[in-house]
Amino acid sequence: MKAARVLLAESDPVARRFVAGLLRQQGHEVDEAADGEAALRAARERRPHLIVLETVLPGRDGGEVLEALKADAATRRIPVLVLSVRSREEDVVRGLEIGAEDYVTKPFHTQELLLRVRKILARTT
Amino acid sequence: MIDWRAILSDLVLGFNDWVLWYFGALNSFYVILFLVSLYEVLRFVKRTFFSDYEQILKSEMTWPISIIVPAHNEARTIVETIHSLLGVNYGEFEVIVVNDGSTDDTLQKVVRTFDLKRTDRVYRRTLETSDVRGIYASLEMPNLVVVDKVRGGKADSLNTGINVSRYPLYCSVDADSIIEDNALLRVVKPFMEHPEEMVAAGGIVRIANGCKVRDGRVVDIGLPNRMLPIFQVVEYLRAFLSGRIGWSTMRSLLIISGAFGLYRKADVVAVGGYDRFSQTEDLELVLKLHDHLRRQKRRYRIVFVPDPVCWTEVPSTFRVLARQRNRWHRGLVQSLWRHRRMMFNPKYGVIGWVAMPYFVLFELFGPFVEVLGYITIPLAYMLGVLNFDFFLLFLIFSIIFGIFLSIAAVLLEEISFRRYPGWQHLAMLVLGGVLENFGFRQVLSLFKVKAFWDYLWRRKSWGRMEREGFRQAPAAGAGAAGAGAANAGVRPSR
Amino acid sequence: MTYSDREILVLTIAVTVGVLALITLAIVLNKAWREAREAFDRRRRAALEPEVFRYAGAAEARSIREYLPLPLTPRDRAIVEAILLDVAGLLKGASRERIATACEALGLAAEAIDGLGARRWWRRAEAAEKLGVMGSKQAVEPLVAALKDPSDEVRMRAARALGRIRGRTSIRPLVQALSDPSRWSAIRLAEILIGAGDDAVDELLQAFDGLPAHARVSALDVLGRIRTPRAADLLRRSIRDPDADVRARAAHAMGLLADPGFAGALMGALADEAWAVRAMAAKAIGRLGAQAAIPVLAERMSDREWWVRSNAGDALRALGPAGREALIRTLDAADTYARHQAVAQLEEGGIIDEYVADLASADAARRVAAIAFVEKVIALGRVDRLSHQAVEHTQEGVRRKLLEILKAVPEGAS
Repeated sequence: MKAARVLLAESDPVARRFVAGLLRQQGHEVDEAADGEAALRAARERRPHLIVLETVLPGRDGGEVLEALKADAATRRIPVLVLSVRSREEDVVRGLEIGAEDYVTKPFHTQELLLRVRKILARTT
Repeated sequence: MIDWRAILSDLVLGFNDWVLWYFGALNSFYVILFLVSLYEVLRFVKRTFFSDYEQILKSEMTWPISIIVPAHNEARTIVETIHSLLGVNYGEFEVIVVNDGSTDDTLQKVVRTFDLKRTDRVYRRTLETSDVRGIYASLEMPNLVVVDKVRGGKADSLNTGINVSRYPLYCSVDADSIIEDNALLRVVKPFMEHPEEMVAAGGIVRIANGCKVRDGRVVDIGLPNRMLPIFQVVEYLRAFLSGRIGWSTMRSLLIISGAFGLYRKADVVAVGGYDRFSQTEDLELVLKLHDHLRRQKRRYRIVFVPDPVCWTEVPSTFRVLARQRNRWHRGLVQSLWRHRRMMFNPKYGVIGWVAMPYFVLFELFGPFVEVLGYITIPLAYMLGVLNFDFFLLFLIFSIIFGIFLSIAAVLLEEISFRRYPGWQHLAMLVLGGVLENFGFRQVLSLFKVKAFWDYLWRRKSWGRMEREGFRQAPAAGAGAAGAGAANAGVRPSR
Repeated sequence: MTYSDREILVLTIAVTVGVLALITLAIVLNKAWREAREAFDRRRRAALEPEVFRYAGAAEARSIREYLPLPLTPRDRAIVEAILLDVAGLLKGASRERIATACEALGLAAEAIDGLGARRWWRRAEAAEKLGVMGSKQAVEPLVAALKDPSDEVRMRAARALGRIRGRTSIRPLVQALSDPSRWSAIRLAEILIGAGDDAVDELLQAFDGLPAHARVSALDVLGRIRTPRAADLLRRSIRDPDADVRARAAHAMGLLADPGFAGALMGALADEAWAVRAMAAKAIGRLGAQAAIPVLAERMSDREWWVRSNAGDALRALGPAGREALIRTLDAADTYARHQAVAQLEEGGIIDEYVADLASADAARRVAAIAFVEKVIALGRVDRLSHQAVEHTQEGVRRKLLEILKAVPEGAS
């Protein structure tokens, strides 16, 4: 599997380091963003192949970020995998409706997450 | 021939003796209060390991909250405030903004920014309020409601908000205060743990002067760089960490800040809501609640939770400070008088035997004792009965004791929340704690005496609700350690 | 020998200054120590964390002992424990089990179990909390014993820990604890049980009949929020329970399950003598989408109780065109409150706006219907929305017509 550039938007430092570590283990290059604004900036500048997004973010809510990503022509095509503590049905449906490629709730299986990442990358690159 | 001189001397000396006892009692009480607070702070710190807050957030069982924001001429900050409240970290909640007859474009700004439309929302008018001109809401944002009403004051606005609210709990928030992201989760916690008993909970009010605020959020915590606000930072630390925690532990918390408090609606409605004619409606409400609940012989809790934070700006000039403290003290006098039947009344337990007498004897009369001292000292000197050495020593003692109480409060902060992380902050707090005893406290006492005077003569400041007027946080326990200072020096030399 | 006042005073000053100096010193030392320690911990964590993370993220069965530089210093051990606990919160299933295995392998679980017997309550509470996060099955029995701890903080954390670890043995005592509200916060217990999902369902169904009324209320709540179809029969029984709270909660739970099969039972509950039951039944029916209930709901709009009326209105609004018709018919109801509630519902549903737009419609029939509707609303005195639209509506024709009607029809005092 080809290595990809992944943008990880996560405000909890431990979760961020952990997930970034997981992805780097697979050989991907990971950019980290700790809040909504940084995530949007990084998405535009770095053009990752995949964005892993937590929707609970300080300042700009992750849902807003997702909408912004899909509204902006530059970032619209980048697949987004939501990885979030928001696990109610409404949240999942809403995330997928806004345009997320996939929605994984926390707590999660590491292998399942990696598999889903692999599938998205295989489909879109 | 009456020997006026002798009589006067006797009076002054007698007063002096009495003051020593008073001073001793007051400061012993402060020490006890501090120790109780210390104990509770240590317990609290040990209780919080992993945060439960995420669970409370996700849980469906968490009670929904109505956030009520009374606003009068807040055009400058209202939109920001609403944005930050809508983004608060909580499950189910609604934000009710009550526009209290603003004369600026507060209402228009809000309606425009959030695209609100008038509605015919149906609600129960359980509390009497002044007329509501209209209710605005938006179909897209069902949890924001704006009530436009005729001017009636903060208490009236809160009552209106209570009428319109949907949920069993409500949180009163000042329009110019900033609630921290997790504050609601933290302040609702006691309600989740003791759902039958909890009636009201207050959080800590911290000072926003000197903090960096962006998008209605405090992003960087700092100390103000002017002395007057710094004195108030120390004062608030003392009042909250060293005072309210203690009172709360003793089950006799009499004050919950109007800037940030969570209440069970049913009980507040049962006591008739907020009082329109009180200067400090938050104090009045809590007293009413205690009165009502005690008479019903219910097991209840009104607590102070030290970790949910509300950031608010404090006056940075003497003039504004004077007005604020005048209002607080007048309100205090008024409420204490209204509820005087609780004093020494065994039906009211600790409140009757300890809290109320404390407030009357020390908070209320302390400033008088002090100011009277300023008068008796020169008098004693003229009469020749002034023992200068003793006086000086006593002055030194009381100043040092005042510093001790301030540093003790800083200690409480350092062992628990440590919101001011840097060494320079610690230095400033210590310095502030020292310097405030050389003038600031004394000036506050003067304000209080004047306030009492104003109350007695019912000056016309009742209705004056300027922007500053909506900030609440009477600093109980910030008292007058310097109270006995001036007077006790008047002793005959041995 | 007695001391003079002056000497006492000097002594007191000296003591106070001494204490003051000590406190200040204590603050400074504490801060310095804390900062040094935190810096040290950060460095060690930066070194150990990647290894622990690699273990946690790996699929193979290698023990954590192979990832770490053994033996660990006590400080390092504490740090590794903290890292494992932090990560545990993120994971579930097999990944989470790896954490439990790691904690057992390093002896951390055993240490925490010992901690349950500590003298100080906060150490016991901390131990219970850690065991919950670790997820080790070895901890179940000691935690069940800790449910009887004298400190309520310890009990609560033990309960939460059991809820996290799951399994029948963990859940049974928690269900029993529902019967003891003086010792347990019902809300917290309910939360824990909801989090435990299916394990809790089995136990609750079995224990239900033996529980006192208030515990049955909590149990129904939990079952409803877990949304388990297995509870259907139980709910049908409970909606006829002698206790009103139980009935109300059963109705609520039926709404959460949203099974159309409950329609009959709920319609029956709409006639219950207790208003809470009626209110909950109305709310629930709305979620079911049960068209058959529309006539009964319309009747409930004239109920004595505000909440019943309000919920009935919400339910009608959720029941499609037929429900909408019922609301419009309610505008003619005999009861004032019902009429007002109907207007509010129609407005929230955007229906008033629809009619207002029709005021300028090309279709004459629609115009006439719209005019009649608007006139009715005005006659009820509910003109806020209409007045707003008369000024703000985008179509000039609509505004004109609306203003005309507003002037012509007297605002009713209904």
